[in-house]
Amino acid sequence: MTLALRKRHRRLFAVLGVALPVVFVAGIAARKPIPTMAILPNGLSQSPSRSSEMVRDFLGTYPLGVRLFRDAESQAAWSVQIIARFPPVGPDLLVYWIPATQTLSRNLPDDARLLGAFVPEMAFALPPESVSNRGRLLLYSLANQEVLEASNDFVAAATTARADSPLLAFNILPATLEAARSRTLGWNAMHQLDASPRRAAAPICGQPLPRDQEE
Amino acid sequence: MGVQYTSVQWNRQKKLYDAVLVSGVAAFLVVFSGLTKLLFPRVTDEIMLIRAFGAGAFLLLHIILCIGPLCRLNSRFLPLLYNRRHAGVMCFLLGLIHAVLVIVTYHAGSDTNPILSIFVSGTFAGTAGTVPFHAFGFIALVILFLMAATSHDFWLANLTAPMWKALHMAVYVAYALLVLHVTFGVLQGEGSPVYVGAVALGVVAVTRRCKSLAEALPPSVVWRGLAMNCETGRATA
Repeated sequence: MTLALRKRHRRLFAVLGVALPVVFVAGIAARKPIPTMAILPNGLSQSPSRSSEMVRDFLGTYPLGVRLFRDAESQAAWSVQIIARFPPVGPDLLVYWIPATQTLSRNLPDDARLLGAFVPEMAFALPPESVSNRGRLLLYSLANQEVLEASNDFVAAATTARADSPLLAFNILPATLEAARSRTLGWNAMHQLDASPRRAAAPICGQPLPRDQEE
Repeated sequence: MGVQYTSVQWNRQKKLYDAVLVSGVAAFLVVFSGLTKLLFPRVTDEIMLIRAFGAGAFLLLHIILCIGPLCRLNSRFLPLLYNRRHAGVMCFLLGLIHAVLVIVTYHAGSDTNPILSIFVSGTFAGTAGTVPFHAFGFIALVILFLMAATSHDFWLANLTAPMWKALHMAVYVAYALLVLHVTFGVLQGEGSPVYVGAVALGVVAVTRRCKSLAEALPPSVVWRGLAMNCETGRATA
């Protein structure tokens, strides 16, 4: 019986010792990156207009950066681009804008305005009321039915005029902040920084970022 | 007259063994959960627990499979061999908790039977990412259950030694299924080479070391313990 067991054991390991590493390596080699959508379906995406831009970081403790854009032709059209150094973990993420008067909770307020499905570096057109009214961005998980993140409140039109606003003083992306500090840059210079060729090559909705369009 | 079985013939060594085992598993779960919360603060509690119990079961299975060869290499590992069946039962319990959490989180809540959902919720589309890895884990858990349920002298005596040993050699099938479960499951979504390297290390340790030992050592040495167990009808642990 012992010999029979030993033979069975040897056969098992002859198979496992070869097949298991092969399957393991094949499985790892066949991995594909997590798919992302370059362009969202209609109704969930709005292409940003060509605009001038600056870099801001709204979303509190989570490492998300936000760029604010203003359309060069229609000065009233604003959009935001969310840049995730570490993509947020949450199913079916949507981006909303809400008035700052709304109390923040895990539930989505009734007057929240859908900007689109969250895709890193995708730009979202801001609703017209955000230009002059204070509001904030929400990151909402549709599957979990809960608000995951909320930005600091801001007024789109006011941010450009207030280089020393509290929004600019903290919560900026660390890399951007370090670069700005090292060059003692103000808001205008950060604008230049953001309009550098490296930034200009970054895609928005499948198109390259517009080069610097100074105000 | 008849033989009276007791559930576990407790003695000081077994109590100490189980205390160390439970403490080690608890420590692993605490450290794993703490690190997960620290490094991945957005991970939900359910996913954290799923990963902790799954990783704990998988790691413990590696240790269980390596105990035998290690004991042949060095007698200092013999205390690990004693009562190894309790480690096997613990491995099954960790896997069971992992499975229950997965089923409750991902497969319950619809009008499809949760168990059936494991097998029908994914469609294989010819890519590694669509391999139905949940099914591998479920079948492995069934094997581990059969082994845990029969890890007792009562079953060794009543199933007869050859049958009992054949059943418990299915642990290698369970291990292979779990490697597939991990490879086509979590490793498809986690890009870090650390995870890949850790699993690869485990596969090499289990398959190559056991194989080489089985081939290198004479049968009298390799199977001495097994033969003693089978001939006497009792396991040593």
